[in-house]
Amino acid sequence: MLILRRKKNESILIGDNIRITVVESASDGVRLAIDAPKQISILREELSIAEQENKSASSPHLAAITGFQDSLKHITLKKNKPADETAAKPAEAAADTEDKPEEKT
Amino acid sequence: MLTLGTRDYGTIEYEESDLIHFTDGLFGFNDLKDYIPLVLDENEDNTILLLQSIENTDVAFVIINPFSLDPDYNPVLSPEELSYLNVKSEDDLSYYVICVLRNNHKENTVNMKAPVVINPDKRIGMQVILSQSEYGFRHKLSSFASVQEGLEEKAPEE
Repeated sequence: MLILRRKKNESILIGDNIRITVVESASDGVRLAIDAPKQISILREELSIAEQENKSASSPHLAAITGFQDSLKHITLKKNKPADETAAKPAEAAADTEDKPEEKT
Repeated sequence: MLTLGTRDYGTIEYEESDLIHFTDGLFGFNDLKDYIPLVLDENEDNTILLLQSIENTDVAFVIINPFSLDPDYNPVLSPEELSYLNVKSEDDLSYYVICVLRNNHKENTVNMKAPVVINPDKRIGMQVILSQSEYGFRHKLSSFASVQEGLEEKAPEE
C-alpha cells in the first residue's frame, strides 16, 4: 500500500496509462480528475459495494423468504409513518404457494 | 390487466399503473427499469414487499420499510436526488431497504446504506447511497431484535 501526499494540481501516475490529478482539495472532500483508458472501470468504491450487495440480494429462494418472514416475528416491527404505506400499491401475489400448487412451475 | 409469470409466486395480474419505474435501474441491474411491488403476506401491510422485475422474472428483491426496524432512520438525500425524484423534501418519499436473505436466517442483512427511494405519487424510484449514515451496506437484521423502546406488541388479531 503506497501512501502519498499531493497538493492541488499535482498528479499520480499508475502504470503506463492512468493519471490521477488533484483538482481541488477542501475540508468536505478532494476533487480528483482521473485519466484512464475507456476499458478500465472507474467506480466510487461504495458503488461497487452496493452492486455486490444487490447481486447477493436478487432472486432470493422461497425457503429463504419463508425463513426471513418467520425470523421477523422475533423483531417486533414498529408500525409508524403511515405515509410509507402508500409507497406501493401492490398487486396481491399468490403468496401462499400451498393455495395454488398448480401454478408452481 | 397485464400478467407476469413469476418463478415462485405463480402468475400475477397487474395494471401498468402498479409499476414503479427506475430510470437508472438498481445498482448492478441498470438495464431493468420496471418493477412491480408484491405483498408477500396478505396479513401484512406494506412493511415487507417483493420488488419483482417485469423485464427479468428471475430478478426480485425482498424489501422492507426501514422505519419499522429503526424509527430514527434518517435518510438524507442530495438536492440532485430530490429533484431527480421530483420532490421538494425527503418527507414526500417512501423508503425501502433491500434484504439479503441467506440459508441461515440469522445471517440475514439489510442494506441500510443504499435504500430504494420511491416517489409514490409519480411511481418513480431510484436507489441512492446515503452520504451520511451510521448504517453500513450489510446490517444484520437480528441486531434490531434488541431494540426495546417504543415497541408495539405484534399480537395477531385472529
